[in-house]
Amino acid sequence: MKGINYEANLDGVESQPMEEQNKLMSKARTLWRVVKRGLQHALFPMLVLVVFSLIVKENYPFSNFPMYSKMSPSTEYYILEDGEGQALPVKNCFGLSASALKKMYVKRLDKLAVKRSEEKGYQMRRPKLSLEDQGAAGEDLLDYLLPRGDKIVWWKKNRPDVIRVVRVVIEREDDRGLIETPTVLVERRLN
Amino acid sequence: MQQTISKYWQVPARGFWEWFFMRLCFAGVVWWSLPHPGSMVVMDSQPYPTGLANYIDLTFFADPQVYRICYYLLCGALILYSLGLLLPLALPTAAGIHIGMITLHNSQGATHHSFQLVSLILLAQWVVCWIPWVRRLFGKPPLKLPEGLKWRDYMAWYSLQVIAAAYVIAGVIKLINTDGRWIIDSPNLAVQMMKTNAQNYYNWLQADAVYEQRATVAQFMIDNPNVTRLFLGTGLLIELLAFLLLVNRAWALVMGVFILALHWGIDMTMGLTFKYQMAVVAIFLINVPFWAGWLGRKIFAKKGEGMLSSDV
Repeated sequence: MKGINYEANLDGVESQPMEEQNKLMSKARTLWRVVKRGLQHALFPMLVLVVFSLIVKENYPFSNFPMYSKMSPSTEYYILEDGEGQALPVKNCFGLSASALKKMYVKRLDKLAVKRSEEKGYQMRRPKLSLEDQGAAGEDLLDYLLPRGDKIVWWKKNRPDVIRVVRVVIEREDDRGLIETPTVLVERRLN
Repeated sequence: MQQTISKYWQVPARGFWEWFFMRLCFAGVVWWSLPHPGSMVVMDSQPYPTGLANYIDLTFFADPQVYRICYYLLCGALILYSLGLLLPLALPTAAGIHIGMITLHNSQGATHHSFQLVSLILLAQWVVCWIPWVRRLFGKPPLKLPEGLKWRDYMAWYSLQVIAAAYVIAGVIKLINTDGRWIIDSPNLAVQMMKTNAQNYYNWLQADAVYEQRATVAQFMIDNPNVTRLFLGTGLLIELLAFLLLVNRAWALVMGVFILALHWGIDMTMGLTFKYQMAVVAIFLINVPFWAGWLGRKIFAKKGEGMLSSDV
């Protein structure tokens, strides 16, 4: 209402502030109608679920479905080997997939990264972890997997003397195409 | 529960048999998605809790005896659900066991994305079916639904809402995580293809039927980045436009076909089969019983007209 000349309005048929007020009220009513229409629209519940899921991220049964949402020119997978470098069938050994093996290892690396960040006072991301830390995450993974295997018939029959967790990095290089580089993260004697 | 306002964005009324087949098939998917007690994997801890596991120790589900009881309870609840009996009891039982069990499964440090859609649909149907029941419990008058609609229509409708949301989220997160560069960077999916190909091999040390072809396709993607962007961009567009399945039944069918095609493409190229999602899409979007009935009525109506005109 600041700046309105009330004196001048006394002569007019309709006062200026009333007109302004009516206009404002009309605009507010229109806005409310639009908001109400939006809230009643068929898309509203879906939008609420979309926003909610993006906020809560991975909290089952909600998820932000982040798989393949980042397109890096390199990636990695993890395999298990025996002492002679022969690959082991992950599902037969521990009843989980190679994909799950990777997720479990990465979760352990993330946990270590948080720990190191707290110790050092600055944020440390997963790739910056030392080889020792990567090996420690591998040891932790084996600590989780081996008792699982003790309850699986295939593993009990075919248990190797040595088990290794191996990371294989796949990189896209323009001149050489796709190249794979394996690294042994941890090796443990079982017998 | 408000009536939708736009001409096209409305809750469709479901016939008795259409809703019955939806329930029957969906119950089958819920049952299929939980492991049989005989093939349970060992989960005696929840080292990386997610969802409810952050607050409750769900490892009791992994006890073979408890799980066996839960499994048969779930089977009973699903039979009741299929028959449309005691839904306010059957749905929370089925949803509780499904969500609890898969939460424990996902709390092992490896998050799977195969089951969310099934759990969320159970949850949505549970919430909808409890609305009139809870109102009655608190002595409130029943909600007046728009003419011709029943609560079952809203249960099916909110199942569609969940499906639409799941695909839109999958599209939006790709844009968020890449600052909108997902399509530009999409030829890099070749490395992911090689990864999933290798992972599938190392599961059983067995190459599947298209193991060699995937390597060829990956190389093709690198050699032809724009063709790759076109294909993967189409996939992203399907995800982002999944909300169109809420327009009406015809759009649900069209989007259902597109989403199934998308999953088929992902399966062929990456070896990732989202079988439960595909089943759910087939049940709620493709909705064969409804379209078969619709087609049947059209054909018989035409035949009827033909007989009438020949009489004349």
